[in-house]
Amino acid sequence: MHLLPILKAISRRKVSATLIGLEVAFSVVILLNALTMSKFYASAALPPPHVDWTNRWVVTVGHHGPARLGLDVAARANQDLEFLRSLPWVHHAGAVSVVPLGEMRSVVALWSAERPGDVVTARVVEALGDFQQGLGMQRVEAFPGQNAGKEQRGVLVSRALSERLFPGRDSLGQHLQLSTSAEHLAVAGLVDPLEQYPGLSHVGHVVFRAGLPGDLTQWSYVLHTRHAPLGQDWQDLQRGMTSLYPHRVIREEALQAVAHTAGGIARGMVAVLLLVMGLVLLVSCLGVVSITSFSVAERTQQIGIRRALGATRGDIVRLFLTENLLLIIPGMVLGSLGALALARVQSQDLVVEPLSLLEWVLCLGLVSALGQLSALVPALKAAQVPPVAATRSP
Amino acid sequence: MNAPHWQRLRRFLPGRHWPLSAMVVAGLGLGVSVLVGFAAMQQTLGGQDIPAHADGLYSVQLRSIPVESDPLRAWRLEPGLVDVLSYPDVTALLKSTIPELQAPSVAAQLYGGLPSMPAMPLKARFCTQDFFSMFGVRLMYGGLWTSDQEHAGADVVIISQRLNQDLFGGRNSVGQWLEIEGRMMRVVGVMAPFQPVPRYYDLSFRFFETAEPVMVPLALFRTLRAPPSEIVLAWQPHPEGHEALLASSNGFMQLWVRLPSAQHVENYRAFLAAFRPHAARPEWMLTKGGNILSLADYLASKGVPPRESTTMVVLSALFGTACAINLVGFLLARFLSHSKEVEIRRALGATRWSIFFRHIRQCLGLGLLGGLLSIPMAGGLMAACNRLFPVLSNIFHMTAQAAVGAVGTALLLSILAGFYPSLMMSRLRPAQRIKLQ
Repeated sequence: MHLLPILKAISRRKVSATLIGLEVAFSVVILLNALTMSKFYASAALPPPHVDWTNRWVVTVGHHGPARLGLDVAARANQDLEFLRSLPWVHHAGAVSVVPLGEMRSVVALWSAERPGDVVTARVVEALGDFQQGLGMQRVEAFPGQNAGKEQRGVLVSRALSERLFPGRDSLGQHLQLSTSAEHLAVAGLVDPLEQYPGLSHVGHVVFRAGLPGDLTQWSYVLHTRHAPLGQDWQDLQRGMTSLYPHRVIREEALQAVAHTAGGIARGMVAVLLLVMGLVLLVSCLGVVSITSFSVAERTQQIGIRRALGATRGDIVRLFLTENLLLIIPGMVLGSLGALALARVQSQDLVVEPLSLLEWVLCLGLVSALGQLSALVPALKAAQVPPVAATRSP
Repeated sequence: MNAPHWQRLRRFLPGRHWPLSAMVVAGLGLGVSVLVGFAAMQQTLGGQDIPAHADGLYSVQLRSIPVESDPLRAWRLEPGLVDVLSYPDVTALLKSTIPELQAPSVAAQLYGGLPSMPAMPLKARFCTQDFFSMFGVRLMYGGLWTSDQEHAGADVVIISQRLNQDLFGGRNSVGQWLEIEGRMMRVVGVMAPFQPVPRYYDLSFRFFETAEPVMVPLALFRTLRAPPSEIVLAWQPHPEGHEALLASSNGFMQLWVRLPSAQHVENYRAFLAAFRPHAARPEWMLTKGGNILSLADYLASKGVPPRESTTMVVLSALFGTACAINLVGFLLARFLSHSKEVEIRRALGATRWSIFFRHIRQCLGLGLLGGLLSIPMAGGLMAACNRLFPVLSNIFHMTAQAAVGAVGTALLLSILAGFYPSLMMSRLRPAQRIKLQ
């Protein structure tokens, strides 16, 4: 098929050509941008692959009444942990001041011992017992805090924090100082946090420190169980813990449910962006159908002449599809440029990973395939125009 | 004689080309609902419901952390300023006589409820009387605690309408007793519905969550040894215990002031610039100065409205434009389907202007239908967003303003999109048709 006559035909129908080109361009801008943003939020919404969520539970205890003021937190937590470990269905039990998921209320400043002027903010989780197993975290190195007598002041740090404090270096054995501690603390291990939030790296700055602070009134036990606890198991737990200390509110939740709540905004954003992507594809398909239908209606007599001169129905379909493709391509180029410009504006306050070339190409491929499919409907209608239409008045 | 009213109305309606007209209306409704829906949500998240009396309110902030260490420096108007203050600093700041009103407050997690029931978690805000007048909190039953009760730290509370509903079935509970942290506390007032979005009096932590259901005199914060529930900036080591926390430079309180004039603002800024923190600070912290932020600046410094909603507004504006382009195509197809009729009209003497306005009128009719359709669609979108973002506590609602905006936008888009197709129809030539008959 010769392209030159088709290009000439397009140049004579500037309105249809412009409308289809703009339609595709806007769709491509929206689609590429929404896809980039959904990738960003999806990574925060989905649980990180390195965490094992199976049979992980959080039991939060809130102590109340005047008796809470004289509470010996360490003794209380150790007694509770002893009880929890005695339950036949509990495999591991640990205690944490706060589950490191979502926003956490306590923020500390810290710095590496060798660069005291470089202050970084982070979230601190104070922990006791088998909290790593309870949280399903993979540790890179052992936590010496649990090995009595060896290195009581060791801390675990998240990988992001390690890279921030000790860029390009092995942080194990390095020392850092927390604003809440007068002493230097050795980095005893690295962990990957329970959530990922690319672009807001400070959210990934987490320090795990041994021991619960003495003025806590609410903390959580993290359990790794042998099987999913039954209703009776939870009742035994409630009864046992209440008998140890009656003035408290006890709440159980699956760790995955806590993660689910923490990722709520990101998950909602992914859903909304997917909805917008679906709608824009639908609207652009309908747009191509309507504008191509308009073009077919305008050219009924011309199609009849072509048919009278020997063009087959297949030729007519091919003519409209080729014409449509020639309109879609500049639209996609224009849309890609627009998407790049928009991404540049957005990158000023958000560190978003751009789409890979493959994702970009796949996205454009999808737009062009749907555009062609949409044009097929009026093209088939055009192919039905009989040669006798050439003799009818316009 | 004038045509009957319904016949005149019919000129605006789609007529026999209903499938194409339905497409136009649906497409327009969809585009406008997405555009208006996200714009309305952006307005809600940006604090459009914050009352006008908040204009004279300023958040007091102290320079605390070095600029390069401030994780949110990209968003802050003045990096290093922190809105969460220590107890000694707030106590010292309250001595200033410049502000007309001052509202120190702190949120805490308490446990309690009816004496006869097991304790339940209760979010509480410890505050002073001025908090209620500064933030426009009205009471549906009872009144504020008295100044004497405030200074003495009497065991009194003001509860939310929701908590009053849950605990007392909605009846006037003034004079009833609650047991909170083991103390019997008397209800002196019940707040009228108070749900500022965002919770602008404390933007330190999860500020789209609901306002605290229990208000307690600030003096009780010390007596109850209440653990602060909002963000704690732990800047320095301190011995364990509530008194040690109160004596430290660690931040957990908010302070707002009302400054009635520009002169007051200037004076208070000068006062803060020279302010030195009253709790000893570690050497890495900044040790002098502060500033006040107007509510608008404070919201902006906290990333309000959130960038997520701004992203969606940008995408929805692009989507609305795509729908408008679509509309041009639909209108061209629809108008062209009766071009022969228009040519005959022209031949029978209709002027170009009359043809143009006839089509613009049809566009307006379609736009009105599309706008009306977009109202329930935008409402549905907001309801869906309420479900998708449960953490935002059902804050999105279709308002009369958004509904009017939807119809107005649809009418505007229909005129813009219909301009070229209407012009094209007005340019059809009558002579050609007559010649060919």
